[in-house]
Parts: sequence; C-alpha cells; structure tokens
Amino acid sequence: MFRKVFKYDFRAMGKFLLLAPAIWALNLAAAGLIRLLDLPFMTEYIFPELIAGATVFFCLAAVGFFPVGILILCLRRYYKNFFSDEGYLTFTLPVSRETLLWSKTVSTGAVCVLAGVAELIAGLIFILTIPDGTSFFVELFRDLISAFSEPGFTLFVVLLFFNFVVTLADEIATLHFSITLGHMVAKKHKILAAFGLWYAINFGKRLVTQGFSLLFLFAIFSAPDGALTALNGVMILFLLLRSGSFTGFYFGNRHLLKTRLALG
Amino acid sequence: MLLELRQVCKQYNNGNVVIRDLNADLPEGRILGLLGPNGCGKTTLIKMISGLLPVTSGSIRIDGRLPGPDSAGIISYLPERPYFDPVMKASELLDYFSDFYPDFHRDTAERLLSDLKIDPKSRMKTLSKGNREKVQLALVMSRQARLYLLDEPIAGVDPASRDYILETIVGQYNRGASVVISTHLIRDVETILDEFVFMGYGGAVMAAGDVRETRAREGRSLDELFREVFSYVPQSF
Repeated sequence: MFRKVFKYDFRAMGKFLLLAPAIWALNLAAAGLIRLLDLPFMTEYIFPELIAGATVFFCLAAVGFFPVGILILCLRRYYKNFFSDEGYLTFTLPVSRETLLWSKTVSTGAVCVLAGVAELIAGLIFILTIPDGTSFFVELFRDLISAFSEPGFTLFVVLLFFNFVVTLADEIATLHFSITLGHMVAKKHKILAAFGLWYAINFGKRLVTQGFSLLFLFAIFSAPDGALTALNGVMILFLLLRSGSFTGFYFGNRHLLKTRLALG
Repeated sequence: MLLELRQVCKQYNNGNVVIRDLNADLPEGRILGLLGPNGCGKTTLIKMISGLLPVTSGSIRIDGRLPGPDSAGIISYLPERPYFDPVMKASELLDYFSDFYPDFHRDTAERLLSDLKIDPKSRMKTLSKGNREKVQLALVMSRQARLYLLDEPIAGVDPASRDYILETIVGQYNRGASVVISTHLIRDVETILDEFVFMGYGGAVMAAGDVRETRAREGRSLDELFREVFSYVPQSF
C-alpha cells in the first residue's frame, strides 16, 4: 500500500518541480545580464547597472526560494490531507496511519531533494554562463578531486551525505509534528499555533546545535593538524543528535495521529 | 453479525459524553436507519465504526475486525461533507478509488456519473455542492463493500435529487452487505429502511426494531412515531 500512497503524494507534490525550467531560464537571464554589464556602452552609466544588478539579485532570490516554496506546498498538502475535510478520505483508506505518515515524510524529502538538484543545475547554468565561470568551475572540480587524496576526506563526504539525509528527515518530522500538535492543541488559528510550536522547538534545537558548533570550533583550533579528523568526530555527533531528534518527532507524531486525532 | 457494538462509550476531552453504553447488532443484508435529532451522536457513532475516532470504552467489531485499516477495506463510508480534493477531476477520483479499493467497480461509477450528466473531466471545485455530493455517492456506492456507512446522504440536496440518491443506494448496494444511513429526514428515507434505531441524546436508544413490523403495529409512519418519541426529550444531555 505504501507504493500507492507514495505515488499519489509524489505526483501531487512533484508537479511543482515542473517549474524548474523556469528557474533555469531565470538563471540564464541573470547570467546574461551580467555579461551585458561588460559591454563598453553600459559601463558609462550607473543606472542600467543598478537595474541589471537588482534584476540579477531577484532572479537569484527566486532560485533560492524554489526549494523553500516547494517545502511549503508539501506542508500545505500534509495539513489538507490529514486535518481538513480531506482527512475523511485519507483516514478511511485501507492504509495504516504509519504508512500514510511515512509516505508523506519520504515524498516530501524526495521532492525537496529534487528541488535542490534543480537548484544545483540552476547554479551550474549560472556559473558556466558568467565570464570566467567555466574556469572557476574547472578549478573547483580539480580541487575537489585532489581533496579525496587527503586522509579522512572520503569519510567526511560520506558523513556529510548522511548528515544531509538525516537533517532533512529531522526538519520534515519536526514540521509535521508541529503541524499535528498545533492542530490538536489550538481551538482557533491552528496554523499560527503550528508555526509558534515549530519556532519554539527549533529554538531549543538551535541552542543544542550551537553548543555543538562551539565544540566543533574548539576541536578545529585545538587540533590544527588533524582538523579533518576532529571535524569527522563532530559530524558523527551531529548525526547521532539529528537521528535522535528525528526518531522523537516522527514517532511522537505517529503516536498523536494514532491516538489523538479528531477531525472537525 | 456483520456489525457488533458492545457497551460503546464516547467521551470527548472536554468531558462531554456523546454516547453511553450503546449495544447494537446488525446482520447482513439489512438497511438500518440511524435516526435522531441533531447532536445526538449519530455522526460520532459512524466515525467510530469507520475508524476515524477511537472509542473511549467498549468495543466495535465489523465482520469480526476492529475499526482500522483492515475494516476500511470492507466499509464504504460517505461522510456528511465534501471530502475530495477540490482540484481533483472526477476521472482522477475514479483512478484513486480503483487503486485503493479492489472492490471498486469503475464501469458502475462511470455509468452513474453519466446518468448524472457529470463530465468526468470536470474538477470538483467547478461542480455545485449538490453535484459534488452526487459524485461522492456514486463513488461510494460503486464499491462492493460489506458495510456502507452513509452519514446524512440527503441532507444537502434538493427533494428531487433525494429520490435519485435513495434509488442509487437501493439499486447499487451489494445485496450481501448492510447499509447504515444516518439522518434526521425520516420521511424521505423510511420507505427504504428495513430496521431503525431512534438515538436520543447521549447515544441512548429510545426505540428500535423492524420498520415494517413497527409501522403495522403502531398504525402510523416512522416519521410520526419519531415526532412522538422526541417530543419530550430534553434538547441537551
């Protein structure tokens, strides 16, 4: 049944990824404007540069907002499917609530990752189109390849990948938990309550992660020769912390949905 | 018994007892009218049977199964409100039901939509409230379920459409199944009912029995009997 639920969740949210070509076009336009700035007749006037600069800024801001916008649309679907009148359909399907929640978590994560990939492609388009962008990219790529020969770098990349996956899962689980709890505790302004809860939870989480960041800095400065090894150690700690947080919020949400859900 | 309710109680978090010690059995092949005034707990009871709400105490069994994903496969539930995503097309809803319910008959649903002159390509948000309810009913009644739970199926539609809806219910339901219809519009539904339960406030059973026998014994319609039974019931529990 997971496959079927996931298919509908992913299809409903994945359609927003069709906006990706528009984002790429925006980036191409921004890079094109930067190229135009190099034209001799343009450099004599400040005004066109300002206009072009502002346009480039808004193009890039739109690109940056893309994954966030997609995440917001995914959360809207979560709220509508579970807590609006659509919940009468969702929760009377022959599917367990665990499967429904897991599908929402996985599909949101998958769509966000794809939005991130679309953003990376947009970045590549931008870098490769601006003047000297290609040489910058080649140099960056060469540095990255040579970095793999350093001891501990491969482990760092693996840890970075797992940290990314777990952090994304944790953020989604926290958002879902906040929405569920906000819906259950507030009589009115349920979305505002969910946002407040998310902010409070995030504030607590940030306090802990800031503490670990200090630990990270201390590790780097106290072991300049083995900085990468120290960094990997802190990454493992982050991984454990995020895994614990994800487990708590995911299963907390699952418990609320199974035992306390009351549709209006 | 297809549906067994034993000492079912429902108390909300605010302390409100909506249903208290309700016992009932429903065999296969019967149409039961769950009749009562507004706020007496009809919708709450249907939500508990469908698995949307947990019982506070007591037990509900549907063909021996507890309410949940297992029982959802044999229950066809029509809530008292529009519950489809407004941006979905009727044809997409047919795909959705086909995917999740193996007992769903797509050709039956398409025929019902055609009878209703509803274009399968139309989105739910473009349909009138009455037509949305008819689409819901068409989908719900196109399943070969064991138990149909219909919560106020005729409350929001005009009198002419009510006849169509009642005909659809009687014409489409699986003969080996049972139907529970919750409503306070007794005059409209009593002709299709086999059994009835008059629910009072707090889920108290004020009267119950076979519809034809009761009408013959009392010498009046169920609607008249309902008016007499509930003429002295306090409006809050």
